[in-house]
Parts: sequence; structure tokens; C-alpha cells
Amino acid sequence: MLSYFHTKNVLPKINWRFSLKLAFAIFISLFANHYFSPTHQGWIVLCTVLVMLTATGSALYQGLLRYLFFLGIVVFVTELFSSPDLLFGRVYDVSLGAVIGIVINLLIFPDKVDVEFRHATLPLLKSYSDYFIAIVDSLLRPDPLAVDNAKKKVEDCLLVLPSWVYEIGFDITLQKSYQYFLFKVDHVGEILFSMHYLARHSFDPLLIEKIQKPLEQCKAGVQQFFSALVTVLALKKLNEGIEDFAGDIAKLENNFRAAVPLSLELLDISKEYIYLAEFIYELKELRTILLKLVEALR
Amino acid sequence: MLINYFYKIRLKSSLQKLARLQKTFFACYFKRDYLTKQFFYEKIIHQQRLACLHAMQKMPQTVSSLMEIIFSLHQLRHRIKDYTIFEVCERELKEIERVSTSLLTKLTHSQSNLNLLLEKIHLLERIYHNTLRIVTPDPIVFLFFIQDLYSFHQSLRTVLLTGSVVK
Repeated sequence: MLSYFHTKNVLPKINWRFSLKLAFAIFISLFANHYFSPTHQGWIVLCTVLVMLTATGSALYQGLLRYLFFLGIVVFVTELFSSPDLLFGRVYDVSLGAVIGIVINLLIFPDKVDVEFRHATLPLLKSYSDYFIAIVDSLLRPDPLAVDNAKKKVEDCLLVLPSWVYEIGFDITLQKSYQYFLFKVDHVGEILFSMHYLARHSFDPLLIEKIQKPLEQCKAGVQQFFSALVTVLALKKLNEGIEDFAGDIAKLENNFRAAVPLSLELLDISKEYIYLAEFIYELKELRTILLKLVEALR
Repeated sequence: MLINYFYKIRLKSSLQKLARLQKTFFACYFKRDYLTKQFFYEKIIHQQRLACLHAMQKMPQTVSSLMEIIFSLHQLRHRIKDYTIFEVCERELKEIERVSTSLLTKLTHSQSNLNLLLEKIHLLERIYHNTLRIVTPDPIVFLFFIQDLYSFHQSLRTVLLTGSVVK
């Protein structure tokens, strides 16, 4: 349930750092409520907590938005249901609470967007690699259980992806690059789900045998790219000599063409041919995306 | 009976989320500004994808495979570099979107609607053979799209037929 709200960016990530920060802010706001509040009605504490519940990387923008929204509600409710004499006091309390909340949110244990981003995407890339291996293995030697288990891990990782990079108010200097990376990571996920659906179909064993060797080599090539991405995101030194396995892809296509007519008029003679052609097409797309990501991160 | 009832509610909610995702994907082709507003569309797709993934966690494999097919179907948005090509088949695509999202949002097995979807896919296939195959730089991507549409129809038929049965 909590992860659902994280995906909606309603709540920040609740960890020990945020809990400590919030506890400190509540302490300061209680102190302020006791000594500086004209109303002593707890508006300072309430507003402090509210402006701190922001998505990662958007502490100032979302904090200010929440303050203005809450201020509007307080003014509206006070004018309609309460004595207008209390208005100034409540506005003062809400504003003080917002200042306390936003300043503490920005200065005490500030968001480390790069760390959060890497912590979320690293496990996903590892699970993508395992999923991809399971998909290719299932094509060569059917094993639905292994693929489904790998798929489950991918889905669990996708549910906690850092969606906050898409939020308005996210650091504008980082927005484009983080959004690009997330977009490409999502694209890889879609390709893998698609390859899984294609690999579920049954194929002529003789046809599979013809493409088995180059497919195994392509599998190793893709694994190598995933490893490189994981290495870079784990802030380790990347070894030189990453092969882009273009030759293996070309070999795979040649072996497939030798077994199956690739002219469009003849390809749809059999669904099996189209599914396998699409599988190989997506393998090429996957290679292209991963190559771009590795080059971008180097 | 009670379990069946709650399962049907979850199934209906999951299919509605898939319908929303499907609608957003198709909007990329109709508005034809996907390539210039990529992050705008992908943000919406990302949110809807997450909602679908949440919903699919409690669904049987027949339903979650629908999501896989939809992802496969809409790889088309990445494969086309000139979106003016969609003017050729816009009407057919709109009809397919209308019928498919209608089937997903109404959890009723309607053979006539399923036949209507099949008919629309046939129409698109005819356009592909007569026109798209010649004017598209990489026509094979439309062949993949059409084949995935047939798979989608087949999968949807299975889900709707067994929709009242608890898995």
C-alpha cells in the first residue's frame, strides 16, 4: 500500500533519515507553538508536517505549493466558520510552520537525488539482466517457471522506480538527464515484457537450432551491457573493451534469413516466423538502447 | 460466491487501467506530436504503467499477458520516425482503439464486439497490404503491430470468456 503512494509521489520515502528530520521539525514546531504562536492551536505543527511531505528533489517547490494550498484552506475555513479575529494569528502560525518545515527539509539530511536514483535503478537493471537471460533460455529450452520468477522480480523493482524525476519542481539542472535515463529504463522494461510474450509461443525446434549459437552470443553481449551499467551506477571503474556485438546480431539475422523468407509477402505465411522476426528486431532495439546508455554514462 | 464477486471487481479495475494505458498509447499516434513531446507522454505512460503493474500483481497470467501484448503492440511509437504516416490509417486505428477500450472497460463477454474488433483489425491489415507496405520506410513494424493486434484479440477473448471464473 505504501509503495502505491510512493508511485503517486504523495509521500516521500520513509526512512531513518526522513524520520529523524521529521521528529526534529516537530520538536522545533512544538517549541515555536508554545512560545511564539498567537493562537496555540497547533497550526504551526500541522503546517510543518504538511510542507515536509514532498517528493524527493522537490522540497522547495512542493513545500511552497503545499503551504499556499493549506493557507488558502485555513483562510477560507476561518472566514466562513470561525471568527475573523483569529485570521491573522492563524496565517502567522501557518507561515511560521511552513518556514520551519521547508528550511529543515532543505538543510537537515537534504535529499541526495543521485544516491536515491541509483539505489532504485541498480536492482532493476540487475533484475532486467536475469529476466533477459531467462527469456532467451526459455526460447531455447522452455522453462516458464524460471521466466515468471524473474518477471516477478522485475515487476517488484519497477514499482519503486524514482517517478519523482517527472515531478514539477524537481531540480531543473538534473531533470533532463534523469528523465532521459528513466525513460530509457522504462523502454527496456517494455521490450523485455514484449520479448517474454513472444518467447511464450512454440517454435519449430529445427528453426531454433539454426539461430541458437548466435542467439547465445547475443545473450552474452546484452548481459555485458547490463553489467557495465550496473558497474557505472555502483560507482565502480568500468573495464575497457566492451563489445557492441554487432557482428553477432548480423550473424543471427543471417541464420534466420537462411531458414525463413524475410520478404514481407512470405513472412506472414506462418505466425511463428513473424514472432521470431519480431523477437530478433527487439533484440536489436535492446542492444541499441543499452549501447546508448553505456556511452552516455561512460 | 463472495470470492468470485471480489475477483470480478479486481478484474474490472485491472482491465480499466489497461484501457486507460491503451488509450494513452493510441493518443500518441492521433495527436502526432509524440516525437516533440516525448517526455510529456512518457510521464503519463509511466504513471499508468505503474498503476497497471500494481493491479496485475493479483491477476492470473491470462490477464497479465494482456499487458505484455499491449507493451509489444505499442513499441510502434518508438519505431516510426515520421508520424504523418498515421494519417493513412488514422480512421482504422481510432476504430480499433474505440472497440478495444470498450471491451476492456465493460467486463461482459460480447461476441459481436469481439467480432467487430477482429473486423477492424482486418481493415487495418487491408490498408497495410494496399498502402502502408509501400509508403512506410520500414513496413515490417506494421506487420508486427497487426500480428500483435490479433494476439491481443485472442487474449482478450480468453479473458472475457473466463472473466466470471476465479483463478
